[in-house]
Amino acid sequence: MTTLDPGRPDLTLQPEASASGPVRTRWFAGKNRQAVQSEGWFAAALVSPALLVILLIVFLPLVYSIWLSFAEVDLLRPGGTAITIFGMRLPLYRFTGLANYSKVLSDPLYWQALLRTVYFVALFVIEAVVIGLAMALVLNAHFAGRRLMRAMLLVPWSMSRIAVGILWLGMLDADFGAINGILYRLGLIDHYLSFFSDGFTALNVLIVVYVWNQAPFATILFLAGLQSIPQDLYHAASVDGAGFWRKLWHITLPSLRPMMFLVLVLATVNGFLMLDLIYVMTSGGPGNDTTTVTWLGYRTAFSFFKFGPGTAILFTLTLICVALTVIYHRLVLSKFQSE
Amino acid sequence: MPTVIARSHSKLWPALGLYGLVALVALWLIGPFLWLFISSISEQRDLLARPMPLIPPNPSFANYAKIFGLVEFHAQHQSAQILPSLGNSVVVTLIVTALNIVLGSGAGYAYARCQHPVMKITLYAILFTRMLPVVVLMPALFLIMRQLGLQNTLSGLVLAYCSFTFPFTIWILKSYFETIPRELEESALVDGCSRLQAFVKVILPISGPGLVAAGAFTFVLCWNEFLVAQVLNSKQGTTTLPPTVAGMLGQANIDYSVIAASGFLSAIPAVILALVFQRYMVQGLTAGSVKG
Amino acid sequence: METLSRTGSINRRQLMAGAGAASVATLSGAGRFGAAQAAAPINFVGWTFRPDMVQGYVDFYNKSYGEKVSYSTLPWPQYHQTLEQRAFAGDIVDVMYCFHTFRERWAQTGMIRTLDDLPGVDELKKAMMPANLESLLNREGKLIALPYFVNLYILMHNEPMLQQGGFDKPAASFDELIEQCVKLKKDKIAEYPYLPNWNPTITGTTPQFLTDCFAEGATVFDAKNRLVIDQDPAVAQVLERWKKVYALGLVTPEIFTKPSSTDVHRMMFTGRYAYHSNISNYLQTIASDTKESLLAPKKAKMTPYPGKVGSTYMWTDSYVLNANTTSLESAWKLMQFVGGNLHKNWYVQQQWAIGSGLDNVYPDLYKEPAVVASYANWVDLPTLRAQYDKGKVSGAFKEQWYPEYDARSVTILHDMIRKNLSVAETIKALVALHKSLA
Repeated sequence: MTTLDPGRPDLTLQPEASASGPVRTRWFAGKNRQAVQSEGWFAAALVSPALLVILLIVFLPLVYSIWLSFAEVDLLRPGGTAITIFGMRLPLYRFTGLANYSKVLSDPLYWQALLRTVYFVALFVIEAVVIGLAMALVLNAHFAGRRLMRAMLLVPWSMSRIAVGILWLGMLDADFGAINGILYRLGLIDHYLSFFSDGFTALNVLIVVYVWNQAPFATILFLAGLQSIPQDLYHAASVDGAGFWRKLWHITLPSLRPMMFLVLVLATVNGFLMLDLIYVMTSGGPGNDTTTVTWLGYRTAFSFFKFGPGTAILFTLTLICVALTVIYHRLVLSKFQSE
Repeated sequence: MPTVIARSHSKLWPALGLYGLVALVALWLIGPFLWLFISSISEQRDLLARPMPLIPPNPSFANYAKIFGLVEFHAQHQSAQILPSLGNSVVVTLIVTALNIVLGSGAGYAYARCQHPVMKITLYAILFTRMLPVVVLMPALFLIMRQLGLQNTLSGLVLAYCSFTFPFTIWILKSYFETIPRELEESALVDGCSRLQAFVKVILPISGPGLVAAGAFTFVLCWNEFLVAQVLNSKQGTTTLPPTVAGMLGQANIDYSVIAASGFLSAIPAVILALVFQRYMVQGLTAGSVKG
Repeated sequence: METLSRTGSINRRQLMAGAGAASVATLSGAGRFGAAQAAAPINFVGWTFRPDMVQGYVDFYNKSYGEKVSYSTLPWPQYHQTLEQRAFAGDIVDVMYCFHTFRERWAQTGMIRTLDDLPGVDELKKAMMPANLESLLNREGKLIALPYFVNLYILMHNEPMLQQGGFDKPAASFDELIEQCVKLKKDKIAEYPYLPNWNPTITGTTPQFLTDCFAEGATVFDAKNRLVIDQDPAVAQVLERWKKVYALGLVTPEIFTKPSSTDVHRMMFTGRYAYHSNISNYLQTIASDTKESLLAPKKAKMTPYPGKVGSTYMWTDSYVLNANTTSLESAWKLMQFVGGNLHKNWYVQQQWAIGSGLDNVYPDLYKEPAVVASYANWVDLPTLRAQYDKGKVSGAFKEQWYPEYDARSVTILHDMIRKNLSVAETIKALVALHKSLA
């Protein structure tokens, strides 16, 4: 889920693929009959609290928000019919069919935001993969202080995006930003630069800041992958006279494929859903130049309180994310599995 | 690979090059974070000075004293929200983490051991929820929480965070329990333990690393969560640190150095936790996501 | 910001001291009033403007009247949406600030109540300037708010900078203003000499746009509150001028991301700008806050707004009363304290005028010697009152669609300026936006 990005487990690593041993329908093959009869209940008892909460807080809202995206929602006048679930009276408002979707999709603002989002995500994914991998390669080398450096990876990642945003405002501000301060001291600029007044620059700045926050996570995954590559492969390649780039291309990257898939999925989905950095750093401006689809949906729902169109916008985004995951799966993993 | 280059040539220049790269990575990772701290112990007018001093000429913890309400300053009524929010963050995060470890480990264990079709379906369902963007649920969740009377309460926040963290915890712990041989419980059962006893007395005691990993992740995620708290708990005094700190940004009369102090303060618990438990977190994560 | 704290504490002290005499009278009254029942806790929320001063008023109020008011602030850019969100969530904030464009929406959605039935309303209404009273009524003619202060756009200039550029008089027309700014830029006296208030929030771009249109005598909304900017060529001329000043590099691009008008006026503190238009009271800090502003004392001055007519946009910000408050009596008492008078004591209104230069809807206050004297510290009062007399209100803000139109039109205008889009297309886009909402 958006805010909970680490290790959104990759959906392709499905239960049966990961379970050890042959599929069993019972926990223990028939040693203790009484236990066998009760074990289903035991399992049910163990999973039901978690399932209940997820049902209530994820699946129910999911179904309800699908409904809302087809309704005209007036928050203060919950008119019309309502359904009662778990003693909750949920107003259904007025069903309007595809009106919200057609309204959203006919708004040029939406398409501009989508285009911007695609740019944002593409660049973010590329930067996160390249920088993440580069850092992994450096940190995989042998040097004094390697463990310390690996621990440092978690610093940018474990900060809230609010703190990250505040931090980078301090780096980039046009009056007191550290980067301006340093460039000015070095004599490279004679007046402070403003990083947020040009829309395109602001968008790119957002990408870099988000990469700073997220790429270390990719690095952690890549490092784990790198460690599982047998060193003999590199030695053999060295004997054959392969250089750094050839080894990277022919040994490292193919071996990292499952990790690459994971990083791509995570980065893409997280890229699409990024919201809190926009909230603290640009609020979607200047103009609409940093307004992504997520921000547009959030604003429609919670600034203008149009829950119907707001959820419709956000659902189009969800569909895109799911579709992209499937495509990545085809492109990256299927090849890997056939090898 | 730098490894290979550094080793095979074992010359000075490649080694220097490597350390140069390492320094660059360190600067990129830590430099901005250090600057946040430097800003927080600076005075605003030093940050505004040109040329800007890179080492604060008058370092002090005055900004922290301000947000803790230890000294009077003009915006103290606004920054007075920081401490209660910190308290709320601690309460919510700890409860969610505890619930995740208790309930998540049970569920993870059941999923690791029981492959009944119903279990498989529900596991898929749980994993599916991780693909859903939280923001898509927010309008509906907003209305549902209102109906439940759980808006602006910490219990509502705990409930919401549990639902978003359970899938991840279950996944990590399921993978972890799968690495524990079944024979351990089987012999415990033969010895007359109930299934619950076998789990609690035999399996859990040797699952420390997995539980730590799951707990640490849950902690970091909840501690940093912004959107849900912002939308569900908008009432003053009911929200957590991230929305409160974000709310200081638009207040025209608060210096950046004070905001930097609250930002740094809000980052510190999760950063320290991540540094302490980083080995477990990386293991738990990679165990959960890489198979073979 | 240090100064804010200092002026704040001074104000608080002044308040306590100055209130002394008045409070003898009021306290005795309050004693009776307060003894009747235990004070109910009241929540009072405002946006961040001089929160230290407001806290001073609230402390004074709690102490002298035995009330329990807790005051808190919300950041300006998210102020109204946060309160709406809180209202939907069932959180009751008894007394709130409300920007003029949100009053109708809040009244329509049932967030706030009408005030006509409350004791003492009629006297307050009689004491107000008719135009300001009119703006506090909802579309059915009911009073829905008490005044916080009157906002009026004015033009200020940096006198030393103009002198440095060889100009002995501020510009009387926009052509002259542009001419002067071009020269100041060319002579490297100022990088961005002109500072119109194009910040993206609701006190920025839209009021600036209305001001510039009204100054030329242009009609923006017709009598039925329809957007008619496509029918008046003067509007197109205003927009062409906006594009021109930006294309000439006279306006800093940073203006488009400033989070409030307060932040914009703080830019003027630096003395790096020659002309600045903003709400009148900001000149008070610019021209009198010697601790912070390089243009104090009185190096920044106001000049009559240029343009064919020279009118500027005027509106009244307000305090509103939650429709669901559970302690109406206490909440109304606080409303009267901040937005009018309590037991004939106009304390808050007076202090705002004296301490922060906030203009007032109660004309009698301008007869108070203390108030009149305070203006002398930062502005030529007759010039200000003359501009005030030309202040123009617009009824369109009372439409429920207005806040969203306002928010979304800003990005259209900004895009035009920043990306040099055609004025005709921009006007068409604005009209289309209006049609889609109204």
